[in-house]
Amino acid sequence: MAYDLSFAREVYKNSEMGHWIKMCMQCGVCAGSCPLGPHWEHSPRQLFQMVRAGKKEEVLKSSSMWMCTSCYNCIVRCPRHLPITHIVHGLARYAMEQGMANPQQPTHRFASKVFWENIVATGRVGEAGLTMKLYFLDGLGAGIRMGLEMKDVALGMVKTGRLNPIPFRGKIKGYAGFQAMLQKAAAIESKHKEAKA
Amino acid sequence: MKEYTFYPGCSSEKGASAANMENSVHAMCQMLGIKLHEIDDWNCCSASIGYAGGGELPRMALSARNFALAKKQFGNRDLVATCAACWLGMRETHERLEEDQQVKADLNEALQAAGLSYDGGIKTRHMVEVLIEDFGFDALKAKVTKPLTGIKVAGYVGCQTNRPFGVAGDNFENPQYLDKMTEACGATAVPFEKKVACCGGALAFSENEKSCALIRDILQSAVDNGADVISTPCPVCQLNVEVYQDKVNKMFGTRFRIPVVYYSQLFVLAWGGGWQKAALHQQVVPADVLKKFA
Amino acid sequence: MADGKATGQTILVVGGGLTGLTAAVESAEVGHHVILLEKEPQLGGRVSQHNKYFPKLCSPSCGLEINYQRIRNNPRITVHTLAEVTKIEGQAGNYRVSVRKAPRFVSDKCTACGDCSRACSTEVEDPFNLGTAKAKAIRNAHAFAFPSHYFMDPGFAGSEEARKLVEVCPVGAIELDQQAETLELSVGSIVWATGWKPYDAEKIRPYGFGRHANVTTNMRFERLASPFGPTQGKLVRPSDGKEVRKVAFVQCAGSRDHNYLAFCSRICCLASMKQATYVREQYPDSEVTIYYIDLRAMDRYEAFLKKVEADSQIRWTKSKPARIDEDPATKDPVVVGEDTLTGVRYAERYDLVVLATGMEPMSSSAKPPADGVTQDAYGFVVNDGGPVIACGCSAGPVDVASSVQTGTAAALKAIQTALKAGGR
Ligand SMILES: Cc1cc2nc3c(=O)[nH]c(=O)nc-3n(C[C@H](O)[C@H](O)[C@H](O)COP(=O)(O)OP(=O)(O)OC[C@H]3O[C@@H](n4cnc5c(N)ncnc54)[C@H](O)[C@@H]3O)c2cc1C
Repeated sequence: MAYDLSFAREVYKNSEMGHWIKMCMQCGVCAGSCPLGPHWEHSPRQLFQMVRAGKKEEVLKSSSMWMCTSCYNCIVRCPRHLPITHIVHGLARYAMEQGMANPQQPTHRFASKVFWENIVATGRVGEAGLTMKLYFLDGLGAGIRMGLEMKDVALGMVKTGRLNPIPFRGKIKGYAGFQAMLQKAAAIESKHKEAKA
Repeated sequence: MKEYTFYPGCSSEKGASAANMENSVHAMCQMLGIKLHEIDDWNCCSASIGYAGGGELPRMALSARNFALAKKQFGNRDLVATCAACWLGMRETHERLEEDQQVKADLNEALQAAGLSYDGGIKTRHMVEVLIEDFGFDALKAKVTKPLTGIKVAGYVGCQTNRPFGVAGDNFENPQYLDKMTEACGATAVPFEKKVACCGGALAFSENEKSCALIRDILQSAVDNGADVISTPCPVCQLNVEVYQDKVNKMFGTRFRIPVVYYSQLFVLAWGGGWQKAALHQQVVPADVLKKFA
Repeated sequence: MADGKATGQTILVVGGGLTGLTAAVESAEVGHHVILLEKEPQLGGRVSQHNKYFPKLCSPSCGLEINYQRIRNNPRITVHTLAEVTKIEGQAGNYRVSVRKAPRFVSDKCTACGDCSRACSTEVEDPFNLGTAKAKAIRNAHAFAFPSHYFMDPGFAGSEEARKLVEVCPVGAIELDQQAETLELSVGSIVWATGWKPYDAEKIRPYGFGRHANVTTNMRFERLASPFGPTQGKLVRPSDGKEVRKVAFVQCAGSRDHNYLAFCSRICCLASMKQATYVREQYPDSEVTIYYIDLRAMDRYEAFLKKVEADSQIRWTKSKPARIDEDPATKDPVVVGEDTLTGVRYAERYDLVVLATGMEPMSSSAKPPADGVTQDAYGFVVNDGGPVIACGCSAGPVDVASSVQTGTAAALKAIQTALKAGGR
């Protein structure tokens, strides 16, 4: 089998902070430092080696990037100062862009569907709406089940004035400009990626 | 009177999950002589999971818009956040924008679509940095009228005020600032192995059970070290470690019931501000051990 | 020893470790006057703290003893201990050097009979044993130390007990009124051989050194293994004196790491292999694990690696551990990380964990006090024609063989510099 660097090059160019992967010396400190270590398929170290080995499918379909809690422990422990948290976020995003991220992966669904859409809808996150939408992603029945399971948590928060039970909130005043800005930013980003490709 | 531009962030909105932080921070600032000027019409910073929906530039544009508004409304005055994730997100955008001309140009092109621009220059800071650097532990201690004597506090620094930027040049593995704040209030900081461990962050939403396992370890370490309360600067830490205690108890057969408060609540209490001002009525797990200082 | 009169062609050697000893004797044996300065009370440097040398696993005392013999027999070498350079001025062939010499409180009359030490009841921290043991306030660093005259702890010299010890000495060698002195030397060239210090393992917080009782460092382990060390060479763990049957070595503890020491110290892999043999020899049923990023047994040391690899009770785990926990009940250290060859995460319990910490240049904190000295990013002295000629570990992290080679090379350079500029 030939040594194929095309996927690695793709990641170096198009995935946020991806070029740093070149610097990884495969020591494994990131893996041992990750709070969700027991749960992922591939450690950050493994992902980086797989990128270099051209394993596009395995990398982009991995659930591992979505296990990142953004605790930044890997960044501060990396002996070569790789911005591992950002690289992993970048790979997650790149998997989405390539249409390869598992649509059922819970954090993928939450981050891209629920969270970002919640921001884009009004300019700010409304926590009640966020939670409801997350629970009802799998339909009404599942939503009610989740809601019931979390009922005590929600009740406690409503009682202490920390959860507004009415999941509607208005838009920010400059909403039109806000939306135009996000669209423009997205357009610039794709333009850059095309130019590099 | 010291004045700062202020970014509250979504969890500090009225009736949102960190309302107890927001309320106690305002009381704390008032007592300390800090005036906060909230950015009018700010937007969400996208916290730590904006990368998925937002990618690189739209994600950073969110903070850039807040910077542009801040500059327009209040000039180059320091911009202060109370939420760890907000501070981190803003600080990251700040650094990339100041260091990389391309990023700055791209963000301005996007801002233009909203009729805004930003040429840099505003320093983004966390509230605890303001307390430490602009006031100092001695000044914080000098205001104490009701020392929290005998209260044992596990200082839960968590992740995002600590890594990757850190506060006050502290050590990532064993930061001291929160314990010093505890001591300034007259309480006792207990050793706490999980001081900088992760609570699951935003994944408490999407991977609740995995997060609950992390939360269990944090609670266990606090209890093992004899803590009466856990204190934290981070709204995600506070929320996760407080409101999931029942769930943790169900999952692991434990019996945790330990209050989780903000540093700002402890200061307000120790400075004689009382229960309401400290927003201690807004705790899901009541902080009854602190009642006698109200 | 020589009259010690410095001339323009005298060579000054700073640092009396194996590198400085080599530079001194090599220069003197071809006819040059040499002044050797050592900041400790006795010569030998770090090597004198080692139990055995790789690759041959012989005792370091023979290598050192040969050099001491050469110094004793050579009238052209003057040794000053407890001496540090405070200022260097002038140029090649004609340097004026100020030296501060701290009092020893014991004169050359001392015969090292040991009566004073036996009579002394005060104990102090013992830097020679790196904090693993206490030592008498008046002593010899170790049995084969040179010069063999005893020395007294400066903090002890003013005490009541010290005055009593004056009477104990059969030859009247204890002199409590000794003062610090300043020497002004005029020399032709300067060899810088101040060596290294162990990297401060407490800085590597995730590894728990200083907090976990049974996490130690490679230099402490050398002392533990030494028949002249705190346990007479018995390998037992600090918390409870239990014999160590299961030992881990963690390579690159602070090395090759931008958070700590960014460079590779080059000898730690070999030092751990050597130390693994200490464990295996003492306890035939013991198990050793070496955690490494990649093994660095430079050039001819490959043979040593092969020899150690032949022992199946020594296991190799390719992994930089993420952290070391301590079991509060047993005080067993637990090493946590990812095995990078299998991708499996581990949490492995040991009797003792040895951190293979690297060599930080002494000159990173104590710079040569002269204008025009270039140092690299880590503090090693760069040889670019400046006022000092660096060799051994003050120029880079090297083993003893390279220290001796570079010490010899520095001697030649020092001779040339002194002669050329001295007008010959
Ligand atoms: C755990 C460990 C095990 C090792 N085992 C081996 C081994 O088995 N085989 C091997 O080949 N190598 C080994 N080494 C490497 C070996 O220790 C070095 O190669 C050697 O010590 C270098 O000698 P040096 O003279 O350059 O430095 P040093 O041994 O550090 O000597 C420097 C001398 O200079 C003195 N000094 C310092 N500053 C001043 C000053 N300002 N003024 C005057 N004097 C000063 C010091 O007191 C010291 O006496 C090991 C290293 C480690 C960390």
